[in-house]
Amino acid sequence: MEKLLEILRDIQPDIDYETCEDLIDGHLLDSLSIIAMIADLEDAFDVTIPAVEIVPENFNSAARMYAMLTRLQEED
Amino acid sequence: MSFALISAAGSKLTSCFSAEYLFVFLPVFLFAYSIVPDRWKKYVLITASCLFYCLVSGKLIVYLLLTAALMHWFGIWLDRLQTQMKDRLSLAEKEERKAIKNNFAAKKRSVITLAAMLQLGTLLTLKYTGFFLTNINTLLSALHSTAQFEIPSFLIPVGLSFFSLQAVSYLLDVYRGVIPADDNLPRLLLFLGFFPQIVEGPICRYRQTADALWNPQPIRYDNLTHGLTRIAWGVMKKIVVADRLDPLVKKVFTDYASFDGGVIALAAVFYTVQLYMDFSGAMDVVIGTAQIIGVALPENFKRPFFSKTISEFWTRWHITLGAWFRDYVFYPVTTAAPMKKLTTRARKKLGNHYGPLLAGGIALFCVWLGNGVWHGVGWHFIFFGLYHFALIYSGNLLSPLTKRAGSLLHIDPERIAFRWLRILRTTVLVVIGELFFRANGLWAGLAMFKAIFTRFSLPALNAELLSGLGVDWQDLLIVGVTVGIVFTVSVIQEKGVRVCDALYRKPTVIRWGTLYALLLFIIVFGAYGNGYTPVDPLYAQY
Amino acid sequence: MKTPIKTMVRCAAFLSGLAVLLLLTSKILVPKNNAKENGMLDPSANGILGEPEQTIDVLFLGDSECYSAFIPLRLWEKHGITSYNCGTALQNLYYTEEFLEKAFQKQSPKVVVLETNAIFRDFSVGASAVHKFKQWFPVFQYHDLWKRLKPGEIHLSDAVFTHKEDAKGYIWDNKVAPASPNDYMAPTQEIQSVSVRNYAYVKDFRDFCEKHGAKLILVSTPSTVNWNMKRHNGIQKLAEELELHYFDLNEPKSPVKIDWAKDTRDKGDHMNYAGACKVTDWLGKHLIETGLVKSRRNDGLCKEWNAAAERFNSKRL
Repeated sequence: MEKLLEILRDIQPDIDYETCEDLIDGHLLDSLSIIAMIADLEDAFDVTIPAVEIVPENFNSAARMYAMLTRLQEED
Repeated sequence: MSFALISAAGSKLTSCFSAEYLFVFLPVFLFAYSIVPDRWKKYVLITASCLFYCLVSGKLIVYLLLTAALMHWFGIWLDRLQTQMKDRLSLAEKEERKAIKNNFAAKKRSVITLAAMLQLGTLLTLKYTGFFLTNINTLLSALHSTAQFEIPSFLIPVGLSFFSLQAVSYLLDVYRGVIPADDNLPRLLLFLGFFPQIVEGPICRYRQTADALWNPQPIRYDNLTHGLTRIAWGVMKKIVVADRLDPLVKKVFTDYASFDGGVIALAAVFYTVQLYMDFSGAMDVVIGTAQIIGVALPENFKRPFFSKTISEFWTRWHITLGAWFRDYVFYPVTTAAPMKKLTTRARKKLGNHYGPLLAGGIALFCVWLGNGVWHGVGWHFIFFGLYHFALIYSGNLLSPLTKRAGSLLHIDPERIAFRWLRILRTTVLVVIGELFFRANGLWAGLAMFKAIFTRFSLPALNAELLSGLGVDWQDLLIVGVTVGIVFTVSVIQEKGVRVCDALYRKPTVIRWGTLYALLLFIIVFGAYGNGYTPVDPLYAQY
Repeated sequence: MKTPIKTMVRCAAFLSGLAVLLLLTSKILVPKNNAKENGMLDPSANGILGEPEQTIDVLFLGDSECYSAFIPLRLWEKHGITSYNCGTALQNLYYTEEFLEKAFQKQSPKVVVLETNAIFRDFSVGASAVHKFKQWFPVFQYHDLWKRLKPGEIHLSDAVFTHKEDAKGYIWDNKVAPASPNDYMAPTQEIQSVSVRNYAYVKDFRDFCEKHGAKLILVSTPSTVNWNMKRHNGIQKLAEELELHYFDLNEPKSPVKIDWAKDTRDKGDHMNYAGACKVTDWLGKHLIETGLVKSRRNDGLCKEWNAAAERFNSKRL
């Protein structure tokens, strides 16, 4: 989780990722930030994030992203 | 009952705003829907949808039926490949698995490519052949060739652009394994052609509506009242504002050379208002209709004129189209293996901010080119798409600079005044885009845009000028009042209040008073009847 | 959960309230007089509302064929007959019905002339229903009057119709655009039949006239564009079945001799003034000879109608 927060802060420093629940729906992260993030996440967690997974439900909060990453790791 | 429907066929059922729809088709449908047993309701829905399509588009319903058949067939094909793969995998040794997977992935890819090409190919052929050949002809004559292509004219089925995207999204979802293939052809047909939504969207996903439509609920009193209220609200936007502005907009955009730059700027603003009221009003009618039978369609507008940036604007205006391009063009392009490599490499050289913008830019370009092309035939639509691409992309390129500038100047980006300034800036940019969107061709658009700066003289809008524009001061007054009402409601919604629900929690006197006021407002101030020409919904042509 | 009965009562109450409000708005947003300046639609035909009570003996109904062919003031000058022309462009029979009922509120015409072209104009049930609805709630027809309403004018008082049209509903035109008749009334056995709905309307008109002591007659005014033998046969059949008098002025043996080089304003579609005079003169003669209508020259009306005729003639020339 710390690893994730680090990556997130690296991309957009001025968001409180630990509490924010509407990163996508609240227009805090736009699509270009997301692709920046995906490349990082894939490296750091050693998973492939397919386009199907890039939906607001998976990216609205740090917790949900973490859940997705864990799930992808298990599936692999 | 069927007699009433057939006589509606005699007159013109053009849109969800026609009297024939609101006072004949919809009531007869709701009556039939409410009296049949629950398990038959879906058949009433299918029949009504096919009938609606026939009334609007006649024989062209074959396109709709063929699209449904295509979805059905290709969906099952993809599904079979998936099952075959699983069977083979369960038997295979560990070493063989990867090869089998790759083998089937390639097969599936060819199937989905074929299906998407058939679907989008039809769309492009019907809509773009004329445009394409006209441009070739121009080119040929520029090259002093006498050879010219004959330009065929196709009848374009209503809603083709909308249901084609729904069909492709269904197939892609099956391909990606998000949803299982549906072997129920009527259910697919209903998902595709549900009658209020077929003309102008919203563009739904299979997961959002197919099941709800196939298992429709009995009409509940609160759904009925909320749905009808929403329909009335949409009709107000369309009949009172959009249609009232239509003569002015049409006049200035057709005859732009004879108007002052100030009038052209004003007309661009009015057109933006007209388009918003027309399209979002139509969505209110569509979503309201679905709400009556307990089906929740996705929202298409979320008060777009409160957006602080263009990129935010497109997540609040025609949301389902933006989402379609995001999910089926933007992310697949950026997450494709070569693009990912590009991003990783670029980030090392250009840093976190600029790195992803390279691959992102390519994907974004595809999205906006597609968006422009989707809207219609003509260079001005392509220009419109690329204009928004340029705005969004430059916004991203410049964001570190603007942030730094902001902190240097000690501007708090969350300050109210600054927020409104950003909203205003976004609105101005949107209005400029809509000017090109509405213009009769790219050259007309450029000439009009130029005139705003070179022929601008702030003319007094006196009565003569108004009559030359086909409206009078009373028209503008009522437009102003209505826009004020819509704005007020939007501000309340921005604060998170669900206005309709809040209204229905109020005492009867207030609730009925509001509804009566709304209905009388439409009836008295609507631009319909003598002296008005009914205007087709603007997005029905795309 | 509310009971269905309770729900229905609520809906009914809501709709009744709406109906009352619409009636009230309709009282405000209707023309308070029958002139064009008051916002009246079809002011020429609606001029009949401003005619003094019991002064009109002949009523003309129909579409543009009608208002182009019958000249009330010529009927007055030549024969002393008072009449009014309620023809309107593209008049459908449901609109004809409205004028018939409207006219009989203040008048008791002895003869009602229906121009037959309107009988072939078909329309949907929806269109006639919408028309009826607009008659009940005129606000749907006249809602745009809000634009000319001044704050002091918002009141529920009844309309008072005082405006008179000098031409009494006839619309004058003396252009000439010759037609080539080309044997447009060539004999045939074929029949263009009248639609069931329109047939019922004509039957209703007949009964209405009978009840009010008037005689309904059908006239096909000359038109090479709109008329032919098939249509003639259709109306002939209808007239026989409904026992109505029918005069087709297109027939070769018709007493009205139209010169197609001079008497039409638009290549045979409509009569011009010269053609209308011929049609009107024949009708006047027929009405007097058959005793259906009597001259009102020695009536108190004389002065006013003479003055109207004078104004009409001076405008025309």
